Amino acid sequence: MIRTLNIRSKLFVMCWICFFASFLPTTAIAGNAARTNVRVIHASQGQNFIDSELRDLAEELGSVFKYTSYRLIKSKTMTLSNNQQGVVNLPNKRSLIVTPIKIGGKKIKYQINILKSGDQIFGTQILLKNQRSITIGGPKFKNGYLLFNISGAIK
Amino acid sequence: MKSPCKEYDKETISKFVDKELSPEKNDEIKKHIQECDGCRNIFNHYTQFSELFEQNTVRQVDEIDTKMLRQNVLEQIKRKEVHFLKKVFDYFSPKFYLKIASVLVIMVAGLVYFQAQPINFIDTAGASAIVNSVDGDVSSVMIFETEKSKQTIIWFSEA
Repeated sequence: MIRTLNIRSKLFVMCWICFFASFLPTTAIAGNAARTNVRVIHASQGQNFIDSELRDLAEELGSVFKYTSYRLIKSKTMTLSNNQQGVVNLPNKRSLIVTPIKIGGKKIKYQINILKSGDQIFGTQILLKNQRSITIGGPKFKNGYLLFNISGAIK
Repeated sequence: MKSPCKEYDKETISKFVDKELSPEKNDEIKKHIQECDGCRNIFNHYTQFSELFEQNTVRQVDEIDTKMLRQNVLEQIKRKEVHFLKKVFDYFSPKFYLKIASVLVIMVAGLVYFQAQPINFIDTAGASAIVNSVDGDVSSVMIFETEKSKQTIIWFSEA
């Protein structure tokens, strides 16, 4: 029957097939991986400075912190599947390990560990809403503190 | 050809040949042509030309097969009508139903898909995260959230 169709009809059918096909990969991998971004920030009370890549976050953090300088030290984006560890090396022999342990629905359950010289100094388990972020702070660094902004999106 | 006569110009003589003048003027020129050599020459030239033209034109028209011409014109009109009707019928042909069917299939598939997998709109209501547990070598931990987007913040002090 396809042979009897003219070019326009064929194109029309092809467009619908492509439209429908565009849903298939989403369905197949939905909930299997989490696109995880970790931004390592140095917050201090030094000279006023906000990194251009932190404008969105600095405004938010400004409502709860009194820091005047936000510098982006590192940004790392990883696509992590369930129980796959994502490691971000930090200054002063520290490292951050982020592991999605459950991806589904509209949330991602993360295990986040901060290590210093191989020893865990902080660990938390959080349930992060899809396409939202959490900020963890505390380690002292260069007259200020290190902040870790972790965002996750289900793929 | 320039008229040597000052009384009548070529155009008037041409009109006379074509019988486009009033009867009075017609008689007047008829009389003049018999007396004036120049105007008679022009009259003869125009008359010859006119006769030649008429003969050839009539012959050409006579050669046209009007029956065939009529039939051709009617066939053209009929073909145009058929073409229009074909377009109308084509619109409602099985191809049209195929298009409708494909749209319906996509809509049903879409409905099934979205019912099985709710759309992941960004949930901006409430805190961005729930903190299930905290441990480690820390002296204190604070959990709070920002004002605007309710972003969860964990603050810890190393021991």
